[in-house]
Amino acid sequence: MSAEQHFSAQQGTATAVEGPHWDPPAAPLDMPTQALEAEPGHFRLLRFAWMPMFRLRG
Amino acid sequence: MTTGTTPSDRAGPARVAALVFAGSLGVAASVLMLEASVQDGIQVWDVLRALLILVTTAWLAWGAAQALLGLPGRRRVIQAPVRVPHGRTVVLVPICNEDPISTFARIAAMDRSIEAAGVSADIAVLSDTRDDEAARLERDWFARLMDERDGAGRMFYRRRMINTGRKAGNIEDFIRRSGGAYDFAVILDADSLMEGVTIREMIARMEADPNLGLLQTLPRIVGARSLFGRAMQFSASFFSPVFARGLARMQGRTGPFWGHNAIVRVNAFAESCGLPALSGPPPFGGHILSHDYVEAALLARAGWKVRVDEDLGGSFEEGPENVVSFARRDRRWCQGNLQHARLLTAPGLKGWSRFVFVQGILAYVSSLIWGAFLIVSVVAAVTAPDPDYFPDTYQLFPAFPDDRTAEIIGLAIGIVGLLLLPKVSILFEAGLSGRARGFGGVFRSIRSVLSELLLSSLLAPVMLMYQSRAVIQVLSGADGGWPANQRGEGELTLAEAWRASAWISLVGAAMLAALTGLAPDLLIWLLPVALPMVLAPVLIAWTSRPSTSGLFAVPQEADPAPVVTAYQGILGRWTGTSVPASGAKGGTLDVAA
Repeated sequence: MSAEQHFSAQQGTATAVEGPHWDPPAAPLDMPTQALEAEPGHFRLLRFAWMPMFRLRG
Repeated sequence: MTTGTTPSDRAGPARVAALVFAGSLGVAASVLMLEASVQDGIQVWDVLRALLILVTTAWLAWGAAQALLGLPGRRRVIQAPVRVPHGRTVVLVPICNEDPISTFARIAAMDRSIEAAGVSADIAVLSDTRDDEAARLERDWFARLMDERDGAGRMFYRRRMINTGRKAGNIEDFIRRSGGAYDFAVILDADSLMEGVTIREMIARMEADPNLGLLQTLPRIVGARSLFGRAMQFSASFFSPVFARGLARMQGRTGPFWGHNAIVRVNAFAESCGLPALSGPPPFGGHILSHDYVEAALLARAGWKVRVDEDLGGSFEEGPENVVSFARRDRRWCQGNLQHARLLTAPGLKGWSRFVFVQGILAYVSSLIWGAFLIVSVVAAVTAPDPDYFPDTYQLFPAFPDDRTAEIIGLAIGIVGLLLLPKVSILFEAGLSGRARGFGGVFRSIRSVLSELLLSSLLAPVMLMYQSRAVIQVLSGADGGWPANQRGEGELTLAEAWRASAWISLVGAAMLAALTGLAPDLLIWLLPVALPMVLAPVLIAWTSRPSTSGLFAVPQEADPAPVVTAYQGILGRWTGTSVPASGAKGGTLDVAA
């Protein structure tokens, strides 16, 4: 029996049970993690100069 | 029905114009400041002061340029037919420790509006709520939503046990598990409201341009009750459309994502926006806090268009009701934006995306720079050598130094002018275009704009202090985390305001005392900064009180959108009140904001 079938919030006795029937459809999609920190060589000097400005403490 | 827009992607001229405008005004201010220092010889403090005013003036001018670029009317619109049936669409509502009644009442209102617009869209509530009792309430109210809206098979609820990546991770989890079932995803916040016709229009615009990866709307604030909230609501409705249009002209196809009230092409988002956790500990490492800016940059990196269409109506959100709530949210945004310093050199990003990161950083660091400018100005005045009236040994008459007061006054007028220029020019635009009618007419608009200017001027030093503290905290390595939203937090007592801002009062009082003793000549100049700081608790408490003056009228009050009216009705029915509870309740004050 699904949760919504034994639901009676109007009487203030709502008790819902989460179950697979509430789950979004299963349709997997690949979501590759993006590279954000592997910077090209010519940015290394800029990064070297930049980062200490943003860390006052270890 | 036909619809769709294809604004010009050529943003180069607008970018160059804005950069030249901001750069030249910054340099002009710096030169004026140096000239004013010439009379007693240029000291190191004078050079520092000139550099600081260069940055702050250029930043102000950049904002003004954005408004000026947005003044000309709507951008080019090309009509395109709506395809029926449209692409498979899901509305995503990520929530985390939200009030379930108002959250699900909003969803019920939107679902009704979506149905009325003839749109077929699923709705998925993605819960990251940590508290089991709160999660139980969510389930109960979701069941009621399902019952009332007959949502079986098209309304979904799932709760993550581990909230990796916070909101971005929550969306990512959905895309990985269910993204293949949809072409488009409308991403909302728990306090978002969107009209069904707006969602239909967004789907049509996405279908009309297959290269469009993300379309952002400009949400209007609704439901504000306090003086502070209503001023923000007015500002977001009156000024923001013009700023957003200027922004759109500058950003072209590398537009913004503000994290909600936007639609994404699911396969574009999936292939481009999987966010890594950054190496190292927070605040600069770990999960990316301000994920929306990064996702927009990643979509652009992959060749997708990201666009903001400010002409789309029917998009709403709620805003903070008091300065303390605003500062708490700002603390999180500050950490997120400063974290972007790690991404400035990320491979393959568009130059403009990197520049947007710099802007986001400057938005917060500029407060610290303004503060530094004020301090350096005082130090420069205190340490300036006394004038030498007899520089030559055998001099009969004294040589009086040139009076440079005119330069200083000119500079002050210029900076105040830059502050006023955007808002005053938008007021003219609203009057000439007839837009002011929605705000109660021209005279009420003038009254509201002048009041907003006064209020924002009074609160600016208080905001400057909160922002400066946030920047210093982040730079010192303090992680502010992701505190739960406390929507509906309203009026603050003077005691609560004092607890949240006593430190600002004390700093202001110390500043006044130091000026009186060290540089009394500067007192009159710095009084507009120091006095609001001393009065911070009073200002915060006063502006959190409900506003009944009729000031700050907005079109959405006189003619509420159907989805807002429906939400208020459902909320009233569900809570057993005729007046919407949102915004009227008290809340637990986080004095650590």
